[in-house]
Amino acid sequence: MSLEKKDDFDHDAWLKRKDLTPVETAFLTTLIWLDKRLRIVDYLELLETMYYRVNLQMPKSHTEQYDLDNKFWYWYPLYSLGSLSIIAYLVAAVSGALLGFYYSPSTAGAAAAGDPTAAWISVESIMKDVQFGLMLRGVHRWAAQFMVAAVFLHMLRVYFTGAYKEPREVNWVLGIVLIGLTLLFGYTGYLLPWYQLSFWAGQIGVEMALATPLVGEWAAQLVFGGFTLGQATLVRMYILHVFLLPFVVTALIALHVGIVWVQGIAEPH
Amino acid sequence: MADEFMKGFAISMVGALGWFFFAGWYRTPSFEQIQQLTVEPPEPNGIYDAVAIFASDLFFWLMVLGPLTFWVIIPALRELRRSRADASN
Amino acid sequence: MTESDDTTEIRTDGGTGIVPPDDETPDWTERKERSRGLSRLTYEYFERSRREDQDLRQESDYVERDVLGFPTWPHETIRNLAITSFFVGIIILVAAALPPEFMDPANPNSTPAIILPDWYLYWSFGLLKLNPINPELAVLGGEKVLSDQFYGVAAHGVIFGILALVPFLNKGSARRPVEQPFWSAVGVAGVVLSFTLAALAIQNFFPFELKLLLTLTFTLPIVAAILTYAVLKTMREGYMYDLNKRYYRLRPPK
Repeated sequence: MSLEKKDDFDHDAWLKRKDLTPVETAFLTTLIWLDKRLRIVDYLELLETMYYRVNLQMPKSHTEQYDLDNKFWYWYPLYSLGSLSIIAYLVAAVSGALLGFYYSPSTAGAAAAGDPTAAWISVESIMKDVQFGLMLRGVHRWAAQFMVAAVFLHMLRVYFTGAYKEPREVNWVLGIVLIGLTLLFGYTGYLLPWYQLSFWAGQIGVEMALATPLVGEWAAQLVFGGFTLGQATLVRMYILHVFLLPFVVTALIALHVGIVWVQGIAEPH
Repeated sequence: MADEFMKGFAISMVGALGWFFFAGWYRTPSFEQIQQLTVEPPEPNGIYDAVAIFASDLFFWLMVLGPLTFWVIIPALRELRRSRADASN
Repeated sequence: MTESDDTTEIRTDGGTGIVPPDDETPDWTERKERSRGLSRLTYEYFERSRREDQDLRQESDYVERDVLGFPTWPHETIRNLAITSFFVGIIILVAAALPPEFMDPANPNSTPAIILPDWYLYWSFGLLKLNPINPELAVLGGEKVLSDQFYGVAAHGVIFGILALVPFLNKGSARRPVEQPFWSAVGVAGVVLSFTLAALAIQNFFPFELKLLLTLTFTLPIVAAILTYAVLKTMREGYMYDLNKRYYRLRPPK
């Protein structure tokens, strides 16, 4: 009787039985060596458990459930418009935060009407002096355009596939609010460089506010800081654009997506 | 049908992007004027300019003709063939 | 079990037609068993190793779970990553190819010839130019109820109000445009209206009269709606025909 251990789990004998190529032998020997010391299999099992648990949270999508994939994937881009607008929003947020280091919301420096103001000069320096500033501003601007476009198309998709029906009315109304806020985001950002067109777009905004009966003058005071455009307007637009709207819009997007998560995605039947 | 739709749409979008780039470079003297992307291109300065101006035309027609092919011509031909097959039966 | 096969199935899911995925969905182990080469060997070794430890584990609280879902990895994750990087790439590509414009500084004393917002507000700017159709009430002696400017502002409220009301007006389970020709026609009219309003906003670009442009602004959407309705109605006939054909092939009439 030999003293050698002879159980079912003699891995060396198993290796011999398998008749492997040198690569496979080397791989398995290393694996066994490591596993004997580090118990990789335990961690793998932990990972597997976590994998199962995570996957338990993910319901099968309608497309998968009914095996619609083969006739459905062409339309997938239309169903990713919501997340595309969030991605564009994130890109705009990152590039906007970087732009914020160089921008100054001030109309100072204009001795006469039509002179460059501090805001305009800071935008000019972003585009001409700052390393990659032109690129940064380009990315911010285009990300904003892409976001608005994606939001509009997202609304059209939801409308034409009837995804706003029965349990989802609240989310549709929330989406309308979000579209309005997105447009407001774009408008306040359009005013910030204090260009000719920024100024006159602001002028139209003030006139729209003043045309409203009862609350008009109060709204003009609140949003534009007076009836003529100036330093107060620019600072209010800046605060709206970089402080107030980001918080509100991010919170509402989170709510919007959360409701989608709870209610499930409405794919056409 | 969806297949044909997506093919035409994808070709159209590729064409639109290319046209947007090259026409933005060569057919848009300024972003503050009314006519953009469709202004007559300047005299090409070299072979690259000539190629780019030609590419803007190429992409424009790709944007127009691509979907026309897949959305109109191919389905029409298919219908025609089917009706002819039905008639011969 | 056997006797209920013929009778009507009891729906416990509220009749949505959504059923949980069957047990045929391959789980992780099954998929690993089908693999080849080194990963197959890894799997075999781990299976042996696992059996070796089994008696040590018998009293543990390890619970084997079924996968009741579609894998996040790799399908969803790869797809989302691909779409995200493609989209961000397009943004950066366009930003690199067409840098932002840089205009003159603000001058309150000189009104520019063309005042325009960004493209996504053209429709709103078009609404502000609707004052020629602001009704003058004869009762008030030609006075207008709303000032011309507020007329445009109020139009925004109307648009957003109609949009918010849509889910409360359109009920039912129709999901595809073919199934709801009327509401699709309304949607197409809305899309066309936003384009014609944008055209109204940039009216200097169009060589014809303002009156004609105003007329077109409101007639084109209606024309588009009627066309859409007609096309979808026709398509629905064919669609229902196909559905019925398939239905009666499966369940021939007695």
